[in-house]
Amino acid sequence: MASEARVPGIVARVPEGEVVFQLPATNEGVRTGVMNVSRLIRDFGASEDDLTAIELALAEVLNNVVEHAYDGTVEGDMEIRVDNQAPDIHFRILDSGRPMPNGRLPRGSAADAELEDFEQDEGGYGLYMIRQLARKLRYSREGHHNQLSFRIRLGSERHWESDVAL
Amino acid sequence: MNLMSDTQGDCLIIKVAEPRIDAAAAVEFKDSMRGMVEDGPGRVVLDLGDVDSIDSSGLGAIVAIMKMIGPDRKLELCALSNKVKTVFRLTRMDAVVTIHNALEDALSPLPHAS
Repeated sequence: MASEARVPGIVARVPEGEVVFQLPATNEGVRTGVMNVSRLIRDFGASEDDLTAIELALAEVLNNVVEHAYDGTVEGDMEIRVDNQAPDIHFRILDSGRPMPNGRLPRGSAADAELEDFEQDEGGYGLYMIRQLARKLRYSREGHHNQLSFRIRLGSERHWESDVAL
Repeated sequence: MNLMSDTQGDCLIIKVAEPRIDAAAAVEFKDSMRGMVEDGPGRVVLDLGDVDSIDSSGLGAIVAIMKMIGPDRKLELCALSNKVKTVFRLTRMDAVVTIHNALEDALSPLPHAS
């Protein structure tokens, strides 16, 4: 990972047109990263629904880096690379933590409607949400880095936001 | 973690006066709730009117609270922001938890229940 930008959330524009955010791999870093990326994407003309999808997916990806790649304890950095390929926004998230178990992304899981509320799992929802929100989700281990890439299409019809009354 | 509780009839109402229940807040949220939901009335209504966003850690904390209060009592939610609703839909948690539009709906009998 590049090392010139050490201030949390600082933006660097690389020649290829990507915008790069470098952050400490902490819960605060996740909040800062999501907020800054959201601001950037808003300038790309994203709707509120697009922003919701991006903020939710990105927060879950970054949470995984903090909690799993760095174990919730190891100090480290993470990098968010955002590339505007309208109507798709491409994201690449890099870290130097542990690889994914078995070298692949877990599937994640949703709530089980057959079970009572208090019988549901307490975890597994993050990856499930990422998989629902993102397209072309890919994980790779390159040297000592993890890289997760995905795309989100602006202006998508999203079935979960339809008219289902709560 | 700023939580305010109030009891009305058979209902313990807990308002989460925080903008987000995310990974940074989830553990404290769960721990603070633990003391508040002990030995209360049969229904616990979590008022999320001030909460703009939640993530999978926050959702896990809510499941943990359901486990805390056990099978004989019930946790219900009200006043979800659009973003919070989206998280409940995406994870299909909306099918297993009772969600009210507003606190008043949680407190008054359903119009078609008679």
